[in-house]
Amino acid sequence: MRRLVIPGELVSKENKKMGTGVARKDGEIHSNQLGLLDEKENFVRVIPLSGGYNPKEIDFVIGVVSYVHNTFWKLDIASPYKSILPGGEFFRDLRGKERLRDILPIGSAVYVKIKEVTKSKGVFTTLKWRGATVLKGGFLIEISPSKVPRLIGKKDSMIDILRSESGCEILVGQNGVIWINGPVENMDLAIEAIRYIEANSHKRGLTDYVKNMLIEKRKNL
Amino acid sequence: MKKDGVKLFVDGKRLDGRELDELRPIKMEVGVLKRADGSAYLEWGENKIIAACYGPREVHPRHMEEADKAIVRVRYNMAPFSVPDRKRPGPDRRSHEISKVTKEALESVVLTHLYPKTVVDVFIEVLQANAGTRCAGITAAALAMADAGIPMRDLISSCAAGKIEGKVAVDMMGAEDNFGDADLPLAISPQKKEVTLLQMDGNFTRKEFEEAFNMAMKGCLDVYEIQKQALLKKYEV
Repeated sequence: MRRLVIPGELVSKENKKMGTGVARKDGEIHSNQLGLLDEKENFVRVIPLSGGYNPKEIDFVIGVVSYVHNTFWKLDIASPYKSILPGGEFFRDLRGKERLRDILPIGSAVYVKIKEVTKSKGVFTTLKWRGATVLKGGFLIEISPSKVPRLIGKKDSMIDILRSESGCEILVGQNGVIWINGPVENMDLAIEAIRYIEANSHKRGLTDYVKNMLIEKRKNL
Repeated sequence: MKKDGVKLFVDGKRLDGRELDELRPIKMEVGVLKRADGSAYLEWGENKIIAACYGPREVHPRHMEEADKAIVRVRYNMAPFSVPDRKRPGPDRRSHEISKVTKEALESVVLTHLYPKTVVDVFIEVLQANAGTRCAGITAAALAMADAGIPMRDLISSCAAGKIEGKVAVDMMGAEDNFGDADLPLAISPQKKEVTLLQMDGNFTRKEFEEAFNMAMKGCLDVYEIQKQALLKKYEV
């Protein structure tokens, strides 16, 4: 069982490699956040239980167009930082003939890859990447970004169950925004399961519980 | 400050039956507000305080933004019904001051460089007051920030000491605060025992000051243990 640590708590006296949420202080490693301690033989980190989204260059996120300029879209990615999707990063060549606001008007949702995060936290995204897409239909819900790894599970175990047992298309952005598309009753089911995972993410044996829950509830549909 | 005819000791004990080095009963709860990123509710004797934390989020107004670090904003506010005579609502000299010193006490442990161009907003609402609200407010705010997942070097714990009828005592209650001789609020980051807030109202001799400081420090460490328990309790299986 992973131990819960609070900010400032002594995590390890040995010299180990450090992941997120820890810092070295006078040769000892201390926690920087409220979270679960993940300690291995030569590695230590704290998995946060809450907190905002800090954009990283490898992440896929779901963004909503909040403003359209002549040459780029501004995306709201549920983070303190606004991100930019340049017109040239749309997956097909626009050749300057079409207006951006006719292609993706304000309110459109996109599943994009973060291409670059500058030192001053300018976030540049792209649609020219395998998997990146414009989202049509369905709707969006938000969870805490720190709970996304739990929602996806080891080797996608949790999200695969959610997809197959609820019968919905589901896309999860690393920023905690989730897109769900499918029949209304199934979407309700998926949302209920996601909310349950969010509330109980620090517990063990969640995958099996969610699977049984979804199978039970689907019988009643 | 002292009024004649007010007795602050009965049979060698304080008005509420405490010893000189005894804290009032403290109760803390974390995660009480659903819509805030982090929150805490605190009862410290007769004090009732709710604290909420939002962020890191975009800074408005924009000119307050710092290009290389996050800023911390604190609002300390007393409800009009928190004291025996109705308090005129809105910010006043006292709450401005407490907001400022609280902000400085909390900011020192936040890892502000991790979230440049953002703000961490902390709101402290005093629902019921009975002396020592700034210490209680700081304690509750630290819990709310930890609950919100703000990266911090340490928690902040706070406690006051004072002088009543010439004797140094920890954690003064309303009557003792009004008729006592001195007050010394202290906030520390408990891991290294670094002082992040120290104020003094009234007069101590040098010896009394040291005694009061040590008493308040011990009080802070007791408060820290309760804070720890409150945080761990939220995620108990």
